[in-house]
Amino acid sequence: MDSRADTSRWDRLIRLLRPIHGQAVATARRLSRSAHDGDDLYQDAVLRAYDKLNGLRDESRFRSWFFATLLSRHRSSVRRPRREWLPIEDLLGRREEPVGEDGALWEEERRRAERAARALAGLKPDQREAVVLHDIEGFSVEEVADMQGSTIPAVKSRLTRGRDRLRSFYLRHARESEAPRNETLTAGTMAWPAKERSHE
Amino acid sequence: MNDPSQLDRDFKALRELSARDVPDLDATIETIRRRELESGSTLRNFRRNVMALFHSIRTRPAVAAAVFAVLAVLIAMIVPVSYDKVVGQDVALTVAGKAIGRAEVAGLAQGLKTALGVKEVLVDAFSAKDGPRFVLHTTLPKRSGAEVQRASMDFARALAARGYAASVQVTPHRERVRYPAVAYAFDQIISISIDGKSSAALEQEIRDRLAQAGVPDAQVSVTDAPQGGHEVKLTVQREGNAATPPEPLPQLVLTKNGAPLGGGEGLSVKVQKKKVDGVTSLSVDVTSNGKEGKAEVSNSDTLGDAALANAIATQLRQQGLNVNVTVVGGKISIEPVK
Repeated sequence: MDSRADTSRWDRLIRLLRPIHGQAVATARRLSRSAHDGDDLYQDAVLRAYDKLNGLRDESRFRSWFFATLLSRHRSSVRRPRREWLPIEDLLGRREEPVGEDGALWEEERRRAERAARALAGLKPDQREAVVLHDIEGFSVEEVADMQGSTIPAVKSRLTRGRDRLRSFYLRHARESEAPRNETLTAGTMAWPAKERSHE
Repeated sequence: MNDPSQLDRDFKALRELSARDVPDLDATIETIRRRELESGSTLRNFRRNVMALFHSIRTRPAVAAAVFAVLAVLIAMIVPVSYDKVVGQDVALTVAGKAIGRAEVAGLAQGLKTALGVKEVLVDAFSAKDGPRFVLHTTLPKRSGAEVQRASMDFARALAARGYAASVQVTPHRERVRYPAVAYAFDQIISISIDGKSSAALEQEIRDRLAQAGVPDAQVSVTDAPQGGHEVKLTVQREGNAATPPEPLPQLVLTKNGAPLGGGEGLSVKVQKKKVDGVTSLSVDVTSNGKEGKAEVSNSDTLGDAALANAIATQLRQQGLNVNVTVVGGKISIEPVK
């Protein structure tokens, strides 16, 4: 059983996490190869944040502190072999996709997201982090440097190299699309949940 | 297909898709806590404790310093290092004379055994025009070279009184040993207390301890300083080359009331002359009035006395040591400015 101190620490963490929870989960997913992996990464980061929470003095810095923890766990997860996690869906029950949208549009969006995730998966972890945080999340270079525990020139360099690699990916993808197509998706690279088409 | 906006559109799609169906925070926390309780593993607690330790180390430099000091001591106590250690004294007694035969040599060996208290003596015999020469070798486990030297000299003098031509040589007996690094560190530091000791007694002890540590040829001089305390002068000469550099010398630490002297009790001068590949360099360590200074002069052999004195004095004064340096015939003398 948790002690009173543990409960108090969890309460504090929940209070601090609540305003950034949605963004942090989304970021974790964008850094990962699948939504499932992203949720695992987020849970791992929360647990680590809980362990280190007593060291956080300035709560106004919580957001960048937590994202730094998330990035640290991201790099660890890249280095270590995959572990089995309890999927959050097991607790919540499988979520239904929203209905009522145009199925073709949604399918196009899913295809685009898959392609972006596949392109990001080809970057080095630190480049992927810089691109996700800056180009997708909208953090400033200074904020990204703070989260990555790095310098501004290093982040700029990661962004430049990361974008170059993304550009190469899209060029390659364009050539493959123009050529007679056998199979463009590599098995296992993507696992974004497929949505059943709306029949409306 | 590769227009720049495609990436933007794909990122937009990823941004929107990954923000959907975000699990509720409370449910997420509940999952994490449940998983933690279910695993409840010792490994998890161990990891947490390790994390807490690292956190303490990062946020408390004093704790970090203490932890690293303890680790360093533990490592020094465990990790062995190989080094040469003086474990005794080799005595070589040379006896010459025409009238020495087998029986006499046996008697001399027995006498040496008794005088030095050893069990074995090896004898080398050499024939020469002026008669046979015998060298009696033995090794004593005692580390005190002065004591062995005294006993050996007494025996040699007794032989001379009986008409033998006898000479004796005592050298430190070194062996390659493998001890923990901490033992090596202790062996490399000679700590001598000056409490209640006269200059002559201190000089003898320094000479003796240096001989034990494998430096039998150090020139040691300890005199009473005019303002009280002692004046210690130590000169050691070592030769080496690029392939085999001079052996490192042990560090001499004088203590008073259990604490190392900071130089306030007098003037301490250590002169080291190194000759490597024919190039002589001079190193002078001075401790005076709590201040330490070091002067290094390369190619010191090519300098005259006045130039050498000037080179040393300039460096020491730059380090805040107010001393007079004189060199006469290559012999360096350093005194505090009165």
